[in-house]
Amino acid sequence: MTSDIKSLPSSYIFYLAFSAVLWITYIVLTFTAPINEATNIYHLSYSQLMWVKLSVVLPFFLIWIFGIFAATGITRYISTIKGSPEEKGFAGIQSGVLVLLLGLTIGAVVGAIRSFLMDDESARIILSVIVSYFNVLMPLIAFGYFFSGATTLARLTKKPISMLSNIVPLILVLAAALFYAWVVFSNPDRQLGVGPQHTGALYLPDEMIVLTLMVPYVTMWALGLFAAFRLLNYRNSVQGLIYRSALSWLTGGILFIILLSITFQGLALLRDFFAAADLKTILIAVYLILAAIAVGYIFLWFGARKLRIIETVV
Amino acid sequence: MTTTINTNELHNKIINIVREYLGPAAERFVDRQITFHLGKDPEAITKQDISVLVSWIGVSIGVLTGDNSQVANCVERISNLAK
Repeated sequence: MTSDIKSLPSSYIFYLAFSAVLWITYIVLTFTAPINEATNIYHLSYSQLMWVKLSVVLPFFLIWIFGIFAATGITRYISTIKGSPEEKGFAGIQSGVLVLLLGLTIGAVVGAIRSFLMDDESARIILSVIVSYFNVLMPLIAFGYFFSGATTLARLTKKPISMLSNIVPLILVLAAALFYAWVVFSNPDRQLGVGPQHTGALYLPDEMIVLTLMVPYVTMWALGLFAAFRLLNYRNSVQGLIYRSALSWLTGGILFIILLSITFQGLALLRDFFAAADLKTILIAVYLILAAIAVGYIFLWFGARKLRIIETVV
Repeated sequence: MTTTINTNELHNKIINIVREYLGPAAERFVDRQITFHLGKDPEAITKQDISVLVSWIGVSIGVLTGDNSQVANCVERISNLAK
């Protein structure tokens, strides 16, 4: 076990340690946060609130832990293909996973801090704006890495990227952009929250919403969807029956992670629509998506492991 | 008799067969098998080495896939290079 850890790059070990510290911070903040009656819109008791918190923390923890397994698997795989043409492509995928996981953890900590500031409106507004930007910045960087890695891999096959790999994501992005614009601009509370339960308000003028949130979100979805389809393109074009079988796990995992992250972001943006829904429905929807993202990381982990075995078997 | 004139070509032929199974990992896989099991430079592979090499390639590919027909097919094609 110790030798396993020692075989990893020191920068990755530092990443693991930093990530673990953030997780401990998140758990402490979540369970020590004061209960605000104004935001307790379902009028839950203290023990019910603790169970709800635990039921949200647990799936996030599973995503994080399987994400770390996947990131470690792909880091180990990259160490076996040093100097190869594929190294750069898979390094892009690895960086994307690391940034996505870091964004998940830091976002969770900042979200937990917000629970301590419910009585301080100006601090809450500042933090809401920071959270809004953070929620778009980290996945934007991660999906940028995925896109760069997937494009590098797709070009290695020396076959042109299929028309389908360009047209399908383009149509999906345009549809998502139009739907997002409709959701944002049909929300009258988008600039200022009305009542304490409207914590989802963006607190930004319309021009800033378009330039600093909508454009980056749509760019991020475009990068993610194009990356997913280019990875599929690489998987379908590359030679090697056994290699492709191992790659299918990794590609499937990345597809799950990108598509479900986009779905999760979409649902988070629509959270005001769900304010009227009952808690059970919201929790089931959240659990299902989080479980599916965790499954995506498990696929990625399996794929990276299978690819590493190909590179190390003697 | 050891011939050296076609060794590079033989090495490439083995890699081309294995590439159909292991894709971009093929060259690294073949070179690793030659270095580890035959203890020689991959470029120095000869037809006389094929019988030993092919048995190790069969074992290793068997570890990677549960499909025995793939293993048998790969082994047969590499064995034919010795003829």
